[in-house]
Amino acid sequence: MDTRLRNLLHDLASEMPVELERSGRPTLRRARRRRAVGAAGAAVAVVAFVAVGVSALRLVSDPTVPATTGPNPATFAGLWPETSPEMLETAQEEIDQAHMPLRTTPDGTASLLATNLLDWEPTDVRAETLAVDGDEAIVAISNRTLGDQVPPMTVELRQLGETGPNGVWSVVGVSTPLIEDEVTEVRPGVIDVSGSVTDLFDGEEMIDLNVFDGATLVPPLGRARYQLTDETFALSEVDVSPTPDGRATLLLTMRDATGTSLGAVMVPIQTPVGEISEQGPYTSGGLPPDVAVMGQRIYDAARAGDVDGLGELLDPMTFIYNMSDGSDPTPEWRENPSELDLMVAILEMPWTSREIEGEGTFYFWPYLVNSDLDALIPEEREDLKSLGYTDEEIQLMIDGGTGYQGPRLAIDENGEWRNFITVGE
Amino acid sequence: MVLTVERRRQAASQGGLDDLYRAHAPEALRLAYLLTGERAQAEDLVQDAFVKVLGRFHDLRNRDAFWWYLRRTIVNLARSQFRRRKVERAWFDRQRPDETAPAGEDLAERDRLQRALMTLRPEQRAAIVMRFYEDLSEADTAQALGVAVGTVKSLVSRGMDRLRAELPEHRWEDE
Repeated sequence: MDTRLRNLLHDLASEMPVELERSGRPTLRRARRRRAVGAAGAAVAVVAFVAVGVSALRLVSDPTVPATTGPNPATFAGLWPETSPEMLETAQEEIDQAHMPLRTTPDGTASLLATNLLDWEPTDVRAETLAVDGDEAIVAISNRTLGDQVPPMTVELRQLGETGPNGVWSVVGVSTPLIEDEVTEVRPGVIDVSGSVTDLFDGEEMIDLNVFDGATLVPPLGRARYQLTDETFALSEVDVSPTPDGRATLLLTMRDATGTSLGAVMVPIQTPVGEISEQGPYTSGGLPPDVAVMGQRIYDAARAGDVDGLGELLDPMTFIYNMSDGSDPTPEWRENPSELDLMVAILEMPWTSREIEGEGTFYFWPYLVNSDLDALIPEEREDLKSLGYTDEEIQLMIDGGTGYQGPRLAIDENGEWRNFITVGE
Repeated sequence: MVLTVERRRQAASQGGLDDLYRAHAPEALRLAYLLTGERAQAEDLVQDAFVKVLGRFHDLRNRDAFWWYLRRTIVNLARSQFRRRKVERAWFDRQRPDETAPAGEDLAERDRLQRALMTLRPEQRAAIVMRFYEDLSEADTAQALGVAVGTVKSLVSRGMDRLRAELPEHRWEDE
């Protein structure tokens, strides 16, 4: 053991001033507030379980629950994996051919949701059927690795077509005591989602919002992410793409520092009616107006291949394009128009923001700039691949500990376009 | 299950929080300073770490375990902060004159060590600090960092290689 190094480290550490009176008060105040909120959260969890129990009883005894006579497209209640009578019919055909046996039980279907949408390992999933009443059921799912501090999620399921032992079960709702949320339609195709969480656990938690239609989150109809700093969240003005039947599934997921899903809420939402676009929308939701407008103008110009238009949106004296700054980037973009494709691709991903010392808040695309690659979640991996990275290259980024090295774009809090970087460091 | 958690939460008295803070804050601040290299950042980090651990830790009678959790939280927070800031720091470093270059040859050895420490990857820095400052064994360091013992050996070895390169004038005892 190098005692000189040890002594030097102790000398260095002794430089740190320790003022317990000054720093202790705010720390303990926050800690006590957090403990109070945590205790309230546990109480909410108890109430939620009671509520589930009551709901289960209501399902058993409620005579107003109509008998299922077959899927009706106008009232189709499935949120996952089937969201239309046609999809349900296809799934039932598979089951009739002795495929997908898990889909013939409520707990099997709930377990598939946990592995496919929440990305839990199959061996970690614990599914307990709380109530079954004919074609309706409630299942509690939990992750063995998360311990008993994380409450189970409640999955509501129904047999929306054929009933009985061979009928396919579909998820019609998911809730967790961890998240209380409210979804508001601001205007057609734009929603606000706000709410609170009952605990923050390890810190670094985030709320991921995904709007989708079908068994997977792709193509995304709307996406946003909120980095939790306290027990509240607000995802403002999230753009939602059209769907043919005017409805889609909203999934809110609370993730911990490692990207593990702690809890989720799944509800139906209305969308504009139209064909699903393979391209995601430009995600301006939650941005300050000046930033949102600049992002939209860049996006529109880049999609149109309008290099002159892009040139009008930046100040060559301050703009940074890759290694060059203080010069006009447009000649290079004319020579290499694929750079504009990258611009479009990253602007169609969720954004993120950071405080830059002496510069104020910067808004970055894509959100991957803030992602912890050691805790990469499936959506992040898919987004990296959509930007052209192979699994090997992604692994190199992870091993290198360098964070996201891909293309990125920043607009400052005043709505000034500050940079577009397409080369790694 | 939830009721059990609730009872545990209630079991910790507010007086216990004060005692725990006084007992562990000085060491926590020094550790955070070694990991971050910045005093203000170290203070913020320690405050966050205390809030997180006090909010979650339900068996306040076990003081040794409290420090174990706190230390691990500090290391994790330092690592996360470093990653988040790295990309933007690199961008701005590229466009500005190198303000961090050594001002002269008369830097104290302690200052040079701090600069050298900050050139390490956060995992390497944490492993070196755990081994040489906290005097933890390789096994305990592995627990504190949440990695395998072999990873600790590798992190310390590479970190020391880097420190030797950064501080050639230091009289390394194992040479």
